[in-house]
Formats: sequence, structure tokens, C-alpha cells
Amino acid sequence: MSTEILSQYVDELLAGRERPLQEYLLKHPDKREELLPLLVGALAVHRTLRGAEPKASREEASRRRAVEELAKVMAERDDLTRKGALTRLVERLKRALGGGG
Amino acid sequence: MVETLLFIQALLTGRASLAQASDRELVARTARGDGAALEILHKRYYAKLYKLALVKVGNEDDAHDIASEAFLRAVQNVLKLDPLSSASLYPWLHTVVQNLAVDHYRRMGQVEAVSDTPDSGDLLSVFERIEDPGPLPEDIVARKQVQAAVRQALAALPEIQAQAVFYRFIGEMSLAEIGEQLGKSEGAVKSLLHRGMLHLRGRVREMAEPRRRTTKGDTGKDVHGDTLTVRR
Repeated sequence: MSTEILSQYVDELLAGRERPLQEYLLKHPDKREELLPLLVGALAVHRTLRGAEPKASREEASRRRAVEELAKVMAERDDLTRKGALTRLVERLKRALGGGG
Repeated sequence: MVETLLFIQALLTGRASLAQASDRELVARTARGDGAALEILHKRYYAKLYKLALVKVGNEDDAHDIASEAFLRAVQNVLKLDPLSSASLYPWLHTVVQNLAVDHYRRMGQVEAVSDTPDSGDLLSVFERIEDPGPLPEDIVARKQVQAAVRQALAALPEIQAQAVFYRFIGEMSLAEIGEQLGKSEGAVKSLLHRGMLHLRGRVREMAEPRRRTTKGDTGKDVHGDTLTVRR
């Protein structure tokens, strides 16, 4: 039962509905002692993580680096593809010449 | 003129639809060199990775470095990641952040304390108070020092509970998705979250106990084994 209530409370927190803790506890007075640590824990974790936003400048710098890295990865792949195609062509020519000789 | 406007509209619509695209599609596009798709993945996950790293290493600068490095790793592995095996890229990034946090500790050669001085005593009083005449729990958990205590307590959760808590609260994954990642049923995931919250209270209590003892004039050791200064 308390597992279910906790799960429901977390759903609401994640959906941006910070329904006051007291409402839950008032609704379930007989379970208050059991629920309090669970719901306070969930609220504390949610608030702590929600409050820890990254710095916009660092996020932007990271985004730029990632895009630059992608350009590098794509260039390397294209280079390998070209080299691979050339290697395959040389091998084919060798086989053709060898077969002809 | 009209053509230009239509072009701009198409461009904006395309961008909007890309923002709604699934991770699988965005990874596939990124693997074809589409920087706009990568930018959307970055926007979708950077803050989450930063928060996870912050809980793990307790330092904002290091958390930024780790989140950024995780994205570079994703880009370097994008050709292998496509097609994405799960619906979300988050679990893969999550694992990379965890590994980077472990590397960070190895480099430091020790476990660092969270930089803020956590005020776990306040939080403990909310956890334990049944009759509630004082400040609302919502007000207390909003305090910065209390949040530092929560981060420290989260970092000390047993691994499997921590995974479930971070997937749920940071990754915002459903119980079914978490179950898939951890190889557990939805009921078992609920139970892990339940145990995680109880463990959190236990950890906060451990953190608060030495503080209580010192305020009563006792000597003792804190949770890190350091001798505490007696306050009179």
C-alpha cells in the first residue's frame, strides 16, 4: 500500500504537480508514520535534483564540442570509406591481372 | 517573398518535428552526420547527466566535465550505437557517467566529501516529525544545505537502489523501462524505490547523529571517522 502511494506521489512530482505533502498525509492519517519518511524522501530527492541546474555557458560549450566531434567522426568515416574503396579496387585489379596472367 | 516565407515555415516545422523525434531516429540521423539531431539529443539529456554526475562527484565543475565527456563518448560511438537497441539513449549515457565518476574517484585517489556543509539535522527532523507544528517539509527541503545532505545521502545508496532512484528521478523513466534495464518486474522496481527512500532516511540519521552528539557536549566520530570538535 505505502509502496503504491509512494509510486503515485513520485509520478505527480515528475509531472510537475508538487502536490503538498500534507495533503497526502492527511488523506492517510493511519499510515502517516509509515508514509512520512517515504514522501519526505521523495520530495527531497525531487527538489534536490530539480534545483541542480547546469550552467548555461557550460552546456552550450559542451554542445559545440559534441557537434565538432561529430564532424571529426564523420570525416574519419568518410576517409576510411574512401581508403576502403581504393583498397578494394586495387585488390580487384590485382585479382583481375593475376587471373589474366 | 512568399516562397521565402514558405521555406522558413518548412524549416521551422522540420526543426519542430525533429524535436519530437524518438531517440532511435535522432541517433540514426546523428550517425549520418546530422548535427541538428545531435543538438536535440544534447538538449534532451545534458542536464540529466549533469545532475547524475553532481550527485556522484559532488562538485559542479567536475559534474560539467563528466556530462560533457559522456556526450563526446556518445558521438565517438554513434556508428556502433545505431540502430539504438533500447527506446532511449539515456541508459547508455547513464552508464557512461557512472563509469566516468568511478574514474574520477580513482584519479583523485579518495572519496571526496560534498563541498557544501550538509545540514542533515534539519532534514532528519522533518523525516521523523509526526506532529507537525513547525515549518512545512516543503520549506525545509528547499534549503541548500539540506539539498547537499540529500545529495550526499543519495551518493551512499546501495547500487541497485541508487540505479532505480536515479533512473526514476533523473532519467524520468517509467517503472516498466527501469524494470527492463535492471531485469526486474515493475513491482520489484517499486519496492527498490521504497527501500531507497527508507535507506535515505537511515543515511540522513547517520549523518545527523554526530552533530546531535556534539551539540549535547559529547565527543565522537563523524560518519567519515574524523574526530568531532566539541561545541559548548
